[in-house]
Formats: sequence, structure tokens, C-alpha cells
Amino acid sequence: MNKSLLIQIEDVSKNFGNTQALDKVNFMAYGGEIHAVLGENGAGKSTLVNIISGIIRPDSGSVKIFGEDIKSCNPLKMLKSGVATVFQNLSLIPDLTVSDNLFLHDDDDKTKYQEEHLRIYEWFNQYGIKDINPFDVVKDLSLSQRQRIEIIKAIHLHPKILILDEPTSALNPPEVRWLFEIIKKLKTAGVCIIYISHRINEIRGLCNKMSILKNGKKVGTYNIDELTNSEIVQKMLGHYLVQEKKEEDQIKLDKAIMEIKGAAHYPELKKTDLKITEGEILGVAGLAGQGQINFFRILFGIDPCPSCTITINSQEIKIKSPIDAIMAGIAFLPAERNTSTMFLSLSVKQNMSIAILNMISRWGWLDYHQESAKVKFISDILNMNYKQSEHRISSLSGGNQQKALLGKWLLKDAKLYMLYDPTRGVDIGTKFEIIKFVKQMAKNGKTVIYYSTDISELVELSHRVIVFYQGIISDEFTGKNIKSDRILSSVTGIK
Amino acid sequence: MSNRLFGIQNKNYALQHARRNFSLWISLALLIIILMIYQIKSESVLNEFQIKVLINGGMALSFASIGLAMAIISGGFDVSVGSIITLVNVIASITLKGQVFSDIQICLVLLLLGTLLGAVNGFLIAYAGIQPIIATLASNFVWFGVSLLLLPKPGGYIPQWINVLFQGTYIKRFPNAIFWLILLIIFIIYFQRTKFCRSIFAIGSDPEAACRNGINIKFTLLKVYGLAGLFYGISGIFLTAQTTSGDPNIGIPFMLLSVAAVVVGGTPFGGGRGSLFSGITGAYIIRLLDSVLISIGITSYFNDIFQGSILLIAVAVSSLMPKIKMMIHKRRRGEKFD
Repeated sequence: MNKSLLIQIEDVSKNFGNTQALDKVNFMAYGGEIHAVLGENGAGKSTLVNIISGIIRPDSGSVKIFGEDIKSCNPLKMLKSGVATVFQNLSLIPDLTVSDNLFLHDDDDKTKYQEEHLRIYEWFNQYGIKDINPFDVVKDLSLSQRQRIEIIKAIHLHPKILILDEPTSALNPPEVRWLFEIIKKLKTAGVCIIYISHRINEIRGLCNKMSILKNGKKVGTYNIDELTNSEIVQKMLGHYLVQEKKEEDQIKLDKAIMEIKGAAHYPELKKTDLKITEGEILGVAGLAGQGQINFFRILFGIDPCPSCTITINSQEIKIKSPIDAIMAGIAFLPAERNTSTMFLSLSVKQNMSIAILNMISRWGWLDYHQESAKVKFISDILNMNYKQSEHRISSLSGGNQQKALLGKWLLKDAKLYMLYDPTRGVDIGTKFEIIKFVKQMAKNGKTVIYYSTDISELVELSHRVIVFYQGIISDEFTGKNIKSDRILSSVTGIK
Repeated sequence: MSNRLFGIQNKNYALQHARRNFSLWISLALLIIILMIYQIKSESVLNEFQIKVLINGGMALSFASIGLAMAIISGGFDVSVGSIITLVNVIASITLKGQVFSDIQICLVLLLLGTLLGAVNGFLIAYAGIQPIIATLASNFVWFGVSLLLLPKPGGYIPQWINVLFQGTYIKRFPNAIFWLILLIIFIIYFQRTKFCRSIFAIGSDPEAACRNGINIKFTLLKVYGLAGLFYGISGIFLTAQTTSGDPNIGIPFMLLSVAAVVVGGTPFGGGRGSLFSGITGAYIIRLLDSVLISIGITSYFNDIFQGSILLIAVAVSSLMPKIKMMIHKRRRGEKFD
């Protein structure tokens, strides 16, 4: 078996604006090994993958793939020289058929249509795919079917390096076994496989080596049996080890103001019940795609859920659309700030007053004085520069945008604030301000549901933490049990 | 008073407003330049008759363009401008009798008809989910067909009083058209500070976000197209007063001219940006261009070429603006940090 050095990355650094995604990382991988890359969200795994597959060019350091120095960034060239990637956010074109997608990269014009069909049936037989018709349009397929097509698309190019970015997050258990068999076959054929996953149990069964990243730095490369599960968690969390909850932050969790029963959105979210107490900060943890976003969307009426009953102050309400949710005093700050909450072409002030147009208008006319006064009042509380309120909101930094959006719901005087990853892409100063402010809000009797990918943030803030795993609330921590290592183990499914 | 009217709160408001509506100010400047050329060429101070002709010339197109601007700002589009104008014109020429009181009633009914036809567009777009351009194109054909059925060839009767009301002069040296224009501007100033107008901009900017901020998208869109239809109706009545006859082909040029006017006036496609004033400035730029070209001595055969070129330049400027801004921004930052 050849053990040739296929990937050799030395001292590679990469900055995105002010955030350092990779900091002098060394990484080596050989043919015939399955190399796991581990790390928290934002540790730099995706950046590393993108550098290997030629999508991103590093700021400094050298990248050698197949012993050849890579200077320019050219994904197509890398693909042709034998680096195939299965991306986490699927890269299939939704409006084309399965077969068109599979042959997208083949620039051999002479391939006859009939020949293509034969080849596809041959592959599908070879890889044991029975439930997909090659002539279905991709957007009609289920998530797991698409993921398998994505995998086959990468494999049929006969790569020498195969990168799998969270391939199992969309697959069911039998399909995961199917994938592992394929991976093991490729391994014996001498292919180098880079396997990115949060699920430590899977990695144990599959990989020979693992590299752990933490905040853009490499912690180390280990053989798979070298570390115990808890040691892995510790390495991923880094030096600050285990955070614990302070005693004085706790509140009594007895008076439920809101009760949700039977919230479900198949297949991502299975039936979920939850009680929420007045004035609490409920931390929500979970990897991407474990159902928590669907839970938020159902509560805000974006996704319909007829089976779900919601009671507020022992009064049942129906939430069919965001309008109903807003009327019930629910506010939602989604993660995708740019596309679904903000009006990029409107000013900061207009963005902040959009939810309270009824309050500041008489007979349909807007009272500009009242609008300005209200916006100024809330900007001062949030420590924002009121002078910027006539600027377009797109000219503000991510942190200030987030503050403006939070300010909008404070103006509306909502009771329940659902914040979905509010500190993503926000500078560290604003991050602390937001955290401080959320605490203040809870003290003033507002209820906050706070999802974050940063577990240390949840530990600092929350009175209670729930963990979503595979579509259910798998764990709940209160009081002293809120510890970063326990949450991380629960999030990654190690029990 | 003016502070209260425009909501001026801090000193750099005017600057910020100018920055956000840059295209509108460019078009206003262009309008003034064209006016100046016209003034210089005509070799005397504009007399009452010239002012009247100038203002009258752009009124119908202004109303039509403002309606279209609403649809474009809401993120949609409307090609049924010409057909609604035509239908109003045709029905007016058939039904008006010359008795002022009943004629006013008929005019009000015609405005209601315009609103209704617009609302039908709105219903098709918002509730039936048909793309704006398809829905309005279809209704465009239907209303043109209906007009042709009602009045197969130009003709009909338009009473004199309507012509005087919109085109004539009641007070010496002040043509009535000036009052209509002032009325229109006041309407826009007030309209732009309604809750409804803010919702239109929000929907055009990001419909999903608008929904998540509690705006009823479907009903707002219905109202937008209904109001646009009302404006087309007003435009139709103005045009009827101007031509004093019915013509089943009268609205055809309006379909494209109104698009040109809105874009030249500084409201870009895509929604969420622009201003209703762009309808007025754009309409007058396009109408004045005719007069200026004639006064310079270029034959009217070149009109279309010049109109097309101006449209192209306007679009090019507005699409290059972000790049130019970025360059200036980068240069400034470079000076600061390097």
C-alpha cells in the first residue's frame, strides 16, 4: 500500500477581515488514511478544507498537494488533478436532473446520452442505490438522497484526495453504514480521506488519525486510540477547560408563562414540548441541522405546524404567521441577518421603527418626531450612535446592525425574545455588550431564548440550557449542572 | 414648519437624505440643465404660454410614472399602464355629455374603475401568485382589447370644461396645470411619510423580512397596485382633457415611456429604493427633451434615439454608482491606515 504524502500544509494563515480563521496551521495527510478534523464551530475546519480544495488562497504559508506547490486558487484545476469535496451545504444544482448534475464536470462533449445512462445505472448498481431515479430533478429529492448523490458525484471522479465535510448530518443510520463501507473501500485503494465531523463516535469507528483545531490554531494530530472521549472534548474546548455556573445567577424556574406542546417539523424536528418561565434566559445548544432552527421558526409562525399548541399565560393562542407571533409578544432575531430581517436599502431609523409603525402613526401618517424620539431613546440604551440613524443600515458593522435589530423589538416591547446566534459575525466588544444587555433584559422581566454555537456564551448567560440532538430535546441542564464540557458532550452525542 | 414636514432631526439629515436618494438629485439636476438649455435657446424669459405648454406636456406622464414607481418600489412591475389609460380615455369619450355635474360623477366613476383594474392586477400578483410582469402583461392585452371593442376608431366627444379645468387658466398668469402639479407634489410629500409608503419600501427591500416584521404583504401589494391604477386613471383623464378625443391607441407609448421616466427619474429596478418624485422628474426630463431638441434645431426624428440614450446613461450611472462609491471609500481608508 502506498503511504505517499499527499497533502502538506505548512504555516498557513488566513484572515477574513478582523477574524483570524487560521493561524500558522501545519497539516499533513497521507494516501490510504482516513484523517478526521475536529473542532468547535468557527475553529477553522471549513477554511482548511477550502484551502485544500483550492477555493480559498491562504494569506501566507505554503500548500503542497501531490508534492506540487499551489500558488493560485483554481477549484476546477484541483478537481481535475484529483481533489474531490463533498460540501456541507450541498453543491448540487436544484433545477437539473440527477444525471445532469453527475456529469456537470465532464467536459467530454462526445459522451453520448445513451452511454451516460448506462454508466449511471452501472454506478447506482455498484454503490447500491435503489431509491433514486437518475432522471428526477434534484429539488424533488429528500435531503438524504441529495447527500448520497453528492457523495457519488465526488467518488465517480476517482479522486486521490476525498474531503467529506459533515457528510452524515443529513443521513439516516443505514445510509451512514453505506457511506462507511464506501469510505473503507476507498481507503484500501490508497485514497486519502479528510473526514470532518462533530460526532466523535463515528470518528472512532472509522478514522485512523485526527487533528484537532481550536480558534484557528492546531492543537495537535493524534492517532485515533491515543485520546479518550473526554480528553478530546477538553482539547476542543482548549485551555479554559470547564466553565461553571455562578451561584448568584440562578433564578427560580417554577412559574411557566409559556407552554409549547407537540411542535414538529418532520424530518428535522420530532414532537417537542417545552415550558418557559418568566424572566429566564433559556440557552439552546445544538449542532447545525438538529431541529432547533425549525423549533424557532415554528414558534414565530414562519413554518406552519398544525399539531402544535402554544399557551401563553394559560391562554391558548394560534400562531399561523409572524404577524400572529408579533401580536402575541414574540420577537425573533434570525441568524441570517442580511436576508430576512433587515431592509438593506432603508435607513437605520426606518429599520428600527418598522415593527411599531402602528404606534407612531395617526390616521396612517407617521409622526416623525415621535419616531425619532423613540429611536433615540432606545439607541441611547443600547449604546448606539444616534447620529448614524439616517445612514443606510447596510453601512453599519455587523454588531451595530444586530443592536439595531434588537432595538427594534425592544421598541415593540415584546415579552419573549428568541435570539438565534446573535453574536455570529459580531466583533468581540459588541459581543460582550449584547451578552450584558441580554442579562439586563432578563432582570427586567423579559424572557429570552438564546441559541448560540458558542457554548461558553450559553454557560455564562443561561439559567437553563436545553440541547437539541437529532430532532429532540436530548438533554436539559439547570443550575450547577450547566458546565461547558457536559454541554459539549451532549451536543456531540457522546453519552 | 419645514422641519416638522420633513422630519429634520439632526443637522446632517439633508446630506444623508441626498446621499440615500442620490439618483433623484441627479435627475433633478438633469431636469434643471435641460430647462436652462431650453431657456437659453428660446432667447427670452419664458412666457405664460410656454410655461403652460411645458407643464401640461408632462402631467399625464407624471401621473402614470408615479403609479409605476409605486409598483417598482414594491419590488414588482406593471406594464398595464397604457391599457388602463386607454380604457379610461375611451370610456370618457363615449360617456361624457357636457353637463358638469353628471360629468364629474362619471369622472369619479372612471377613477374608481382605474383603481379597480389596478386592484385586479394586485389580486393576481399577491393572492394568485402570478409574476407581476406576466399578470400585468395579460391584463394589458385584455384592457386594450376592451377599449378597441368600445371605440374601434378615434373619435368621441370631450366637453370643453374638462379641457379648461386641466389645461386652461382660471387665474391670470397662473395656468391651472401649476396648481395640479403643486397638488401632486404635496400629495407625494405627505404620502411618503405614511405607514403605507414605509411598508411599500420594506416589501420591495426584502419581502421575507417584511413578513417577519408583521407587515401584511398580500394586502399591501393589493393596495399598491390599486393605488397605481388610480394614478393611471388620473393620467387617463388628464390625457383625455389634453387631446379632447377618444383614441383606442392613445396609451401605447405610455407603457415604455413611463418605464423610461421612472428609471431616468432615479428609481432603480429591484425595489426598496428610489422615490415617488422620480415619476415627476423623469416624466418632465423625457417630455422637455422633445422641446429642447426642437429648439436646438434637431428634427423630431431623433427624439427616440436621444430618449434611449438618456435612459441608457441613467441606468449606467445608477449601476456604476456603488462601484464609484466603493472606490472613494477605499481611497479614503487607504489614506487613513497606510
